[in-house]
Amino acid sequence: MWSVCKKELRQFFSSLTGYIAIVVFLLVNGLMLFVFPDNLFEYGYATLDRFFQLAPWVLLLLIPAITMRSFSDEFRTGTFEILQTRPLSRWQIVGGKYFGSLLVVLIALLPTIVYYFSVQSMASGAGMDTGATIGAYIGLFFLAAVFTAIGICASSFTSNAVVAFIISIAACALLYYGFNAISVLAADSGGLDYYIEMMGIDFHYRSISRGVIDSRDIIYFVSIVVVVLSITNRNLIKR
Amino acid sequence: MLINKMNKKYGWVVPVVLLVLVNVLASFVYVRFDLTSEKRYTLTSGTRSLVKQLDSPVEVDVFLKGEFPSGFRKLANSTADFLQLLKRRERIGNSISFYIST
Repeated sequence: MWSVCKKELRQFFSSLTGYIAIVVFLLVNGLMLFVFPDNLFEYGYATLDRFFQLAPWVLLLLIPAITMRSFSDEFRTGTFEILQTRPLSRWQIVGGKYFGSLLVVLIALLPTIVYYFSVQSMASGAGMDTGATIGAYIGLFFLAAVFTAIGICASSFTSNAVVAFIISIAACALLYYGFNAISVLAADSGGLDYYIEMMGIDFHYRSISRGVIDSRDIIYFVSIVVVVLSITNRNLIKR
Repeated sequence: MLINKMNKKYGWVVPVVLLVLVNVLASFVYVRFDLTSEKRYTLTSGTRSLVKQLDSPVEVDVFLKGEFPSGFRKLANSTADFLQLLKRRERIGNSISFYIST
C-alpha cells in the first residue's frame, strides 16, 4: 500500500501539479485573509474564523484537481492492468491512492499554521484561543479527508480526468452545502430541516471548527470516508 | 448465481444502510471535548436543568443578519452557535427552534 502511496506522491511532485495546487491554495488564502478588503485586520479580532470559513471552498476546487487523475489516468493509459497483476489487494490500491492524495492536501494545509503564529503575535491581551484553533484544524483535516475520498471515488468511475473533476466538484458541493440549501426549503416542517442539515458536511464541520470535538462528528466523517472508498473498491471490481 | 447477481447490483445498499445505522447509533452515545479555553461551548449544569424543566416548545427569533461591522458579526455568529448547541443538546431538536432573520 505504501509503495502505491509513495508513487502517487512522487508523481505529484515530479510534475508541476502538486506545486501548483499548493501554491494556488496558499495564494488564495493569503490574499483573502490578509490583503483583500474585508480582511483579518479590518475584522479586528484575533481569530482565524475567516480562514476556516474560506478554506472549505478553496479545497472544494483544489482537491478534485488533485484526485481527478488518480484512477482515470490509469484506466486511460492501460497501466491499471499492470497494477492489478501486482501482489496488492484492491483495498491496498485504493488506500495507497487515497493516502497519496490526502498527503498532498495535508502538505498544502501545513504552511497555514504560520497564520496562527502571525495572528497570535499581533494579538493583544490573551491572544488567540489555541484549543479552538486546534479543534478547527482537526475539522479541516476531516473535511479534506472526505473531499479526497469523494475525488478518488469519482475518478474510479470514468477514464476521463475532466469528467472526474466535474463529478467530484458537484458531489463535494452537494455534500458540503447542498443539504444546507435543501434544509432552508424545509424550514417550516418542524424539525425535519434540522435532520436534513445534519446530513451535510457543513453542519459537522462548523461544530468541530468551533473547537468542540464531538464523537458524533468524527464518526460521521469517518463513516462517509469508509463508505465512499468501498464504492470505489466496487468500481474497481467491474474493471 | 442469483446471489452473485444481486450482490453485483445492490451491493452498495449494505454500506449505505450501515452508514445510516452507525450514525444513528452514534447520536445516542457520544462524548464531546470542549477545547476552547473558557469552555464556551459547554452548557453549565444550571442551564441544563433549566432546559430540562421547559414544559412547552421554545421559539427564539433573532434579528441579527445582514451587513454588520465586525463586532456585531461576531455576536451574530456566536448567538447562532449557542442556539445550535442548545438544540443539539436536546437530541430531538424539536423543543427549541430558532430563526435568524434581518
